[in-house]
Amino acid sequence: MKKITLMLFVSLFTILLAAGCGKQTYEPVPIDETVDKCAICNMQIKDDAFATQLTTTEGKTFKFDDIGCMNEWKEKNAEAKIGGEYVRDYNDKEWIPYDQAAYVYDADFKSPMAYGIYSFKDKASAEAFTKEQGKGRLMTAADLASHEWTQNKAQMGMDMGEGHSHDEGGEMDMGANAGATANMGSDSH
Amino acid sequence: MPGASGHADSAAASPTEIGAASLQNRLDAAKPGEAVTLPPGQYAEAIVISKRLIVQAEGVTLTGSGGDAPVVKLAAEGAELHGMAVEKDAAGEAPAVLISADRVVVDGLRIKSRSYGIQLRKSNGSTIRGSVVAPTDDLKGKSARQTDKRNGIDLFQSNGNLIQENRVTGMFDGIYMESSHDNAVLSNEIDHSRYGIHCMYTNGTIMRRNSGEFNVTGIMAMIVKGAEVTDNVFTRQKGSVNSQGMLFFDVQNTRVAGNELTGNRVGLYIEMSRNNVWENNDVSYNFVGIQLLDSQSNRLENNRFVSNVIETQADGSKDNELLHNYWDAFQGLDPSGDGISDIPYVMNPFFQRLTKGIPAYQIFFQSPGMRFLESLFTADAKQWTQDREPRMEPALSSSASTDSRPNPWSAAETGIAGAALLVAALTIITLMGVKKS
Repeated sequence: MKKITLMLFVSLFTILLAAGCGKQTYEPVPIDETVDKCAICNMQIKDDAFATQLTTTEGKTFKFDDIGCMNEWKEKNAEAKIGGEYVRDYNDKEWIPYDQAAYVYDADFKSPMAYGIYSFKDKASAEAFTKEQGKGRLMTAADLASHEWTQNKAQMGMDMGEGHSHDEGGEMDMGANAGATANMGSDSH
Repeated sequence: MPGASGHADSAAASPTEIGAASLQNRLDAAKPGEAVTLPPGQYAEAIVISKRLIVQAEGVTLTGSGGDAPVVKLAAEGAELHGMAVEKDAAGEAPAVLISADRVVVDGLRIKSRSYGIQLRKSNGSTIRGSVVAPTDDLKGKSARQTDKRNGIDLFQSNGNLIQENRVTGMFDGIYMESSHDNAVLSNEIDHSRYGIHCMYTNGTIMRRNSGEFNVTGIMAMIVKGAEVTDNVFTRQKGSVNSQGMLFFDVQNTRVAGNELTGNRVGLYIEMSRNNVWENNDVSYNFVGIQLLDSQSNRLENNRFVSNVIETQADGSKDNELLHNYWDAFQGLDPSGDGISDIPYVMNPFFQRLTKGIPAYQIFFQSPGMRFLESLFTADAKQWTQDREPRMEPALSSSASTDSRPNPWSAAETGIAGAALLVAALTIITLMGVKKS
């Protein structure tokens, strides 16, 4: 009798523990190209290395086509509690937690919304990529917090290429980086 | 994607083993300014046009030398290529045709590519005309994943180009322009692609008389200034749950006029856009006519919204001027007989707000309870988007041929569907009956 009670207790405990644990983790969900669109820019999300996602503690998952859009969402929803946040490895598209990934930024890198930030599962592969490309600044998730997009994001649309007379340098920055572009825009007038 | 243009040189630069007969040798032998006619035939080689030649290549099919490199490179100012068929079977990031010089002309090309069709990189004043871009046969059709597809005509940092009378089918984005300004996109046809025409960070783009069907979205304008979007026709774009006729995101100082958006999921989707004008557009038979979100100081005038399931969804938008549009679901009142209703057409944002937070609430669409709730929350009705002077009858169409176009949801089809439903209902009632025990 006692054994059974004990067994019951143990199994109940395990179940509760498992259930409890289940609530704490926010696993990445796959991208479905037919229905998923970016929560910020409305573009269809490609199932590629640029896709990112976050899940709030309420259990709602938001997907983005570019890490820059995820950043914008976080700014717009500063009060939201985020349970899990994932980016992808540039090489094998494996989901990696946002704060554990290594990032490489260069204004010339192309990405769906032209933020020019690529993510990698470790520092070594990120370094290898910058060597191969001959450019790119290595960053951590902490560095991203102070990345230019933060302060210039709001101006992205407004200052984007004031007027039509852009020199080539201006256009280059414009395509690749919102932050730099915002500066370009205000400079050119 | 970086390095897309980086490793382009290797394959094409060195003449292949074909020897004297190779096309590259013929091009090398020609003097700048000369017209060269290439002998028809199929060639497994890649070519580079690195001086100002006018190359006539009717009947020539070029399949490249294998590997992810451009099959044709136009790298000299003023070079021209006419009538060539270009096939690039290798996957990757290199295009079938790469244009990297100014004032290049390509005309009548027939391109089949597993990656990009035509790419312009820092090319200004070039012309792409009368060409067809399609994917390799296995990438056609719905089974192909978007990730495997590339853009048809792809511009980056290229200004003042003319893209005219091309046809792009089954690619990723039909015509993609990034950081490219003052380009004219005229009379192109795009179908079965993701976005027909996709602008990212562009100024002064002119999009006129383009048409498309079965794309996810006809024109996708993102972070665009000073564009002109006129007389385009985008129909039957409802294959994807997210499809739109045209989507405008962060668009400014743009004029959108005389377009026809029929049978799409959303006709016009407008978000975070300012100081634009939408006039004389036909937005008909869409699921949602127009979605206007977080946008200010736009003018929507003389548009026609006919037979959309939901005419409008507007929220977070203020200072927009909506005038003299025709909303066929709206019952106006016109005592003065001037053709303009004296009651405004007001757009209740309640449903939009509800479903934005929890999309599953869409199931309450048009439910009696929803109607009731909508009528309760009208405290801030003054802030809502409204057409102050809606028309009683649709304004005369500026585009002539609207009537000749077959209605995608024709009356006959609707009739047949209705009849089928009736028959089904009757059958069920007869078979199952109501049992009295």
